[in-house]
Amino acid sequence: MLIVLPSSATCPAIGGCRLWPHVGPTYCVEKLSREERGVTGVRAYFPTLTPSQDTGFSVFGFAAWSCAFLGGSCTSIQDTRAIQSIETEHVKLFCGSWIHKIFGKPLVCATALFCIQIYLKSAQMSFRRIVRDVRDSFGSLSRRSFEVRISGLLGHHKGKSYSSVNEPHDFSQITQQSHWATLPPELLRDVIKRLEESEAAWPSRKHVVACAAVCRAWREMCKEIVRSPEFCGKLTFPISLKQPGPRDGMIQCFIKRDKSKLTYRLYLCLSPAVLVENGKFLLSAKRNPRTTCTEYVISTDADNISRSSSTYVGKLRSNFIGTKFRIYDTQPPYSGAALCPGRTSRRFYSKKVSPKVPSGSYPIAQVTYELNVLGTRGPRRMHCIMHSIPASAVEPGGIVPGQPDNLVARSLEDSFRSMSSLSSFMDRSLDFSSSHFSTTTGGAQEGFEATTDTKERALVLRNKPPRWHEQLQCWCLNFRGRVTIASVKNFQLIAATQPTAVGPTTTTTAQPSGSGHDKIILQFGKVAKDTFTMDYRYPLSAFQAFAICLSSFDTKLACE
Amino acid sequence: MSEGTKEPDGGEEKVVLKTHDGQEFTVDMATANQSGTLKNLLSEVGSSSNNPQVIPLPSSITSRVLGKVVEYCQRHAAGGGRRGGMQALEQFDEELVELDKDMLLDVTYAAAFLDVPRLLDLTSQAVADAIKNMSVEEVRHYFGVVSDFTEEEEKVIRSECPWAFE
Repeated sequence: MLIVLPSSATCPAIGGCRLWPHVGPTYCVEKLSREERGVTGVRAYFPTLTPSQDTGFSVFGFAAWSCAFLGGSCTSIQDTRAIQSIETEHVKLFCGSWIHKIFGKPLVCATALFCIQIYLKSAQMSFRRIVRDVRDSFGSLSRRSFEVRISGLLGHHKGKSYSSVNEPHDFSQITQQSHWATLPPELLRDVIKRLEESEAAWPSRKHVVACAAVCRAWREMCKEIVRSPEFCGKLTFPISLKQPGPRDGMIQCFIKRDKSKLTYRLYLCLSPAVLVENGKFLLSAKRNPRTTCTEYVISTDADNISRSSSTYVGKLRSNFIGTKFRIYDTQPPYSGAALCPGRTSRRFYSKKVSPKVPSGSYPIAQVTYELNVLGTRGPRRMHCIMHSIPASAVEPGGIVPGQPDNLVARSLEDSFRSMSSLSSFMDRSLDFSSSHFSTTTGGAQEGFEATTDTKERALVLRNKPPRWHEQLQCWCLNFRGRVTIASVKNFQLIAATQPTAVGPTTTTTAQPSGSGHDKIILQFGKVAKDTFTMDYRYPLSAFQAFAICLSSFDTKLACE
Repeated sequence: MSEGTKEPDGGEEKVVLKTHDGQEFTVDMATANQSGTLKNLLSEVGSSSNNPQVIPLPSSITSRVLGKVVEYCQRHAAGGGRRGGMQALEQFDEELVELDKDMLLDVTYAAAFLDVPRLLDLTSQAVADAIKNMSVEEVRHYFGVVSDFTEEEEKVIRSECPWAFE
C-alpha cells in the first residue's frame, strides 16, 4: 500500500517549512505490517539531491516528522537517529527509473532516493487516523485526486487480510463518525489501564466490566489489560470464577446458607473482617434432593438458579449415601485431561440439542469422604481428584492448562461458532473411552487410572489432618482467625504428596515433597450460624472451590 | 498573531508553531522543550530569535487546542518556583483538564502527538474519571462508539453485566 503525497505545497508538514529545503517535492509513504503483533511501520521514500552528512541528518529528521505526522505521536527524532544508525546500511539508493516504473511518470530529477523504515510503537495506530489526517491536510487543492488514490488503495487494502480490529471497512465512514470514535487505540488503552488500576476493588470494579461491553475493540483491549486472578489476585469478569486463584495469597470469600430455600451464595469479602454482611456476589447454588442422589446446581445468578438458564455454570452431584461427589463443569477441561465423559455430555452432543444452550456437562473433579472409624465426633477424611488440573500444576513452574480465556463462557462461544469441530473432538474422545474403559459404573476415578499412562496425572487434594488438642479436648486446625466456630464441616485442603488412594498404577510415580505441597489451597469453616468462610488459591478456581465446599454441607450418612 | 507569547527576554531562542488554521504561536525554547517531539526536532535544526523556525502542525491540532497545550507547557516550563509553588501548579493542572469532551480528546491527542507525557497523564486520567459511573450505553454515547457485536454476543455480554452490577 502506498500513500502518495502529491505535492509539497499542499502538505503542511512540508508547505512553508524551511526545515528541509533540499527535500524534493514528492515522496511516498508505504505502510508496513510486521508479522509480530503490536508493530506497524511506515516506510518513507523521498528523493534528495546530495546525500551528504548534513542533508542525511535532516532527511531522517524529516522522515520522522512526517511519519509522526501521518501516524500519530509514535516516533521522534531520537527514534530516527537510532534508526539512522541501524538503517544506514539498509538505506537503499534507488534510481529515478525505478520510481518511474511505479508511478508512470518521472518524479523529480532526483539522483538518489532514501528509503527509511520506521516502525511505530503501536500496531493499533489505525490506518483510519492516518488517512483522515492526510486527507484533511490536503485541503481543497488536491482533494479530488487524492480521494481517487485513496479509493484505489482501498481496493488493494481489502485484498489483504489485516488483523487489526481497528481497520475500518469503509473509509467513507471516517468523517461521519464522532471525534471520539477515532481516539487512537494506544490512548484508549492508557485510559482503560488507568480505570482498571483505580477501580481495583468491588463494587466499583464493575466499570471495567462495563468497558468490556462497549464494542469489540474495547473488549479486546480490556481482555488484554485485565490480568487473570492467578497473577493479579482480583476477580473481574464472570470468567475469572473459572480461572485459578492467585499464586500469592488467597482470595477470601464467604458463603451464606439459606436453609429454608436450600440455597447457598458465595460472596467475595470486601474487608478482612470475618463476619461481614455485604460482599460481592460471585456464585449461587441450589440443593435439589432427588431419590437417588443430591444435586447442587451452580449459577452466576443470585436468584434464578436453574439448569436451563444461561447463567448455569456447573453442578455437584452426590452418590446415594453422600460420601462421593462429582463436580461437573459446563466447559470442557483441557484436552490432555483425564476425562471420562459422562452420560450427560453424550446427550449434549446429540444433534437435537439447540447449540445455543450451554448444557455441556464434563466431570472435572471427584470428592470422596472416607468412612469414619472414630465415630460421629471425629474428623472426616476428604479426598479430591481434580481431573481438570494436572498434578504438575503445583510443582514449581507448573501451570493449569486449558483455562477458559474468553470472557464469554467457552462452551457458549464454541457452541455457536465451532460446534462441528468440538463435537468431532468429543466424538473422538467418546470412541477412546469406549474402547479403553468399561462403560458401566466405571466412574471418573477408574477412568483416571486407566489414562495415567497416556495422560498427565490429575492433582489430588486431601484435607489436612487435625490435631487432637489435649486441653480443649477437641480436634483442631489452625485457620488463622478465619474460622471461629468448631464444626465437622470445617476443613483445609492441601496437595497430596503421596497419591496412595488413587490406585496402584500411580504409586510408582510418588513425587518428591516439593515446595508447593504444604500450602493450604482451600480452607472452609464456620463463622456464624449459616455463614461460612471460604478461602482459596491457585490452582483451584472459585467455581471448583465453591463446589468442594458445597459437598461439605451435605449430610453424610457414613460420616455423621 | 503571537498568542501565548511570553515577554521576550533579549536574544532568547524562539520557535513558531503554526496550526493548520493559520494561527501562529511564538514560544520560547523552554516551553517548546516541554514537548518531546519539538525538543527532538529543534535539537536537529536549532532556532534563533531573529529567524525563528516555523513548525507546522497537523490539522487535528487546532489553535484552541494548541493554546491549551502551550498554556500548560509555559506553566510547567516555569516550574513550581513561580506563581505560588507546586500547589498552585497542581491546581492549575486540575483546572486545565476541566474541558468538554471534544476538547478533552483533542488536547489528549495533541499531548500524545507533541509528546508531553505529564499533560497526557492528566488528560488520560480525566477521561478515565469521566468513564467511571457510566453505564455501557452512556460510554457508547460519550465516545460515539457503535456496538459491533452480533446479537448472540450482545446477549452473552448482557448476561455478564448483571453479575458485575449485582
